[in-house]
Amino acid sequence: MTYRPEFRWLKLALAFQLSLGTMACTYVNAVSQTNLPQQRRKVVRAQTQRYIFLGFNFDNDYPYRLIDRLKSQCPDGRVRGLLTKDTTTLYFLFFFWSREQLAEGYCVVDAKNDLAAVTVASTASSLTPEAQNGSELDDRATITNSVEILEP
Amino acid sequence: MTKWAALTGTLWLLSGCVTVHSISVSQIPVKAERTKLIKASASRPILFFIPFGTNYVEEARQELAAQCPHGEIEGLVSKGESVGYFIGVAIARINLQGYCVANRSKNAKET
Amino acid sequence: MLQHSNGFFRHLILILITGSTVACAVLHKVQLAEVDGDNLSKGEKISIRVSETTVNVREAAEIAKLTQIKEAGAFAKVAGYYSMLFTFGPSTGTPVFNEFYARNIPEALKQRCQKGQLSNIISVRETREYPVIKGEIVRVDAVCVDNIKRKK
Repeated sequence: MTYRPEFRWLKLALAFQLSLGTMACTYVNAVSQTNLPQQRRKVVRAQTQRYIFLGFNFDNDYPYRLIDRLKSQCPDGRVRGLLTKDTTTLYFLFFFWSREQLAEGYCVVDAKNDLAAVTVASTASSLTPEAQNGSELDDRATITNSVEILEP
Repeated sequence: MTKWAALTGTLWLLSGCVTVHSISVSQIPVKAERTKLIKASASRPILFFIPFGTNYVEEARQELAAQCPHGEIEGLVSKGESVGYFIGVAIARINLQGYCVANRSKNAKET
Repeated sequence: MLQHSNGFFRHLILILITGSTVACAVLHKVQLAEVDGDNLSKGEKISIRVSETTVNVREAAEIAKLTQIKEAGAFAKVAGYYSMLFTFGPSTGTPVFNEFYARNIPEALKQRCQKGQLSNIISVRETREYPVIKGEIVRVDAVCVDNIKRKK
């Protein structure tokens, strides 16, 4: 196969076409989902993003802002059923891309929350017979006492 | 001819290769509450390295939530994987599996 | 003159490669657990960070080739076979020699939060890239909420 000068331009055209074709393509890197609550009325969402040029990125502290943003949207409750999606969007092949993290959950505002730990013995009588016999009881099974969380 | 046969054979062997990219497990409920197992999955094709959206993840979650509308879904295993069929053709998939724990609030009494 | 300029460009590329990857941070995966609101997550912030230093054999081989050392070619070939045969498959970052380096994280979290409950847990898998040497890092940050008082 003899070398032809137009092959060089063909290769360049192919590379350009590939870069155009994959521009703004988003790839999912990781997905995680926590336990979904019964109350699913209020949806809260937070996103962080970092644009990266030629791989120059000197810290990975930006995903931590997700927690602050979620906390501010649900100050008196707990964000449960969190779906965390970690994605990469290519803007120009491997020269310029962005990393995004999206977290979406349900804000559950409840007087009884998991931090209100209770003793199992005092609540055993309120359980159904099936739950009483031979099952491992965790602290969330029943709640009989209200608790106060002290501020440090 | 032999080279092409070998290449075609290799590509056929690699067809349907599944790769797990991410996995996570959430808190598993007690044994008595692990009665109803529910599953959901969603996928999108990736043709010649071009994906067609990432909303399939939310779709899978909604499908799972719809199977347990009045209970809590716990013990969730989330698996993000990709299946390669042929050179340039793949499918990105998310599998969600968990236990639907219903009637937990009936067991809890607040005084 | 062409031969001299070839050597010059090779060394220039070597310097650019080593300089460009100095301490770059690469984010691989982020996962969040349930998030408590501002008013419920007052506690001590704890952070656990474990790392494992490793060597990118292929990168070492490529840099060695640029230096035109006589044995570098053979080393590059062996490194290429090693990375192809023993390090294939999906992975995050560079393969490490001790894969159990992150196994003690739950225990470390338990030690730091013995009298409370962990909340707002975020885990980050990242890499600190230096020329040839890579630091594979797992970071887990959480808030230890304690001082729960029962009010009867």
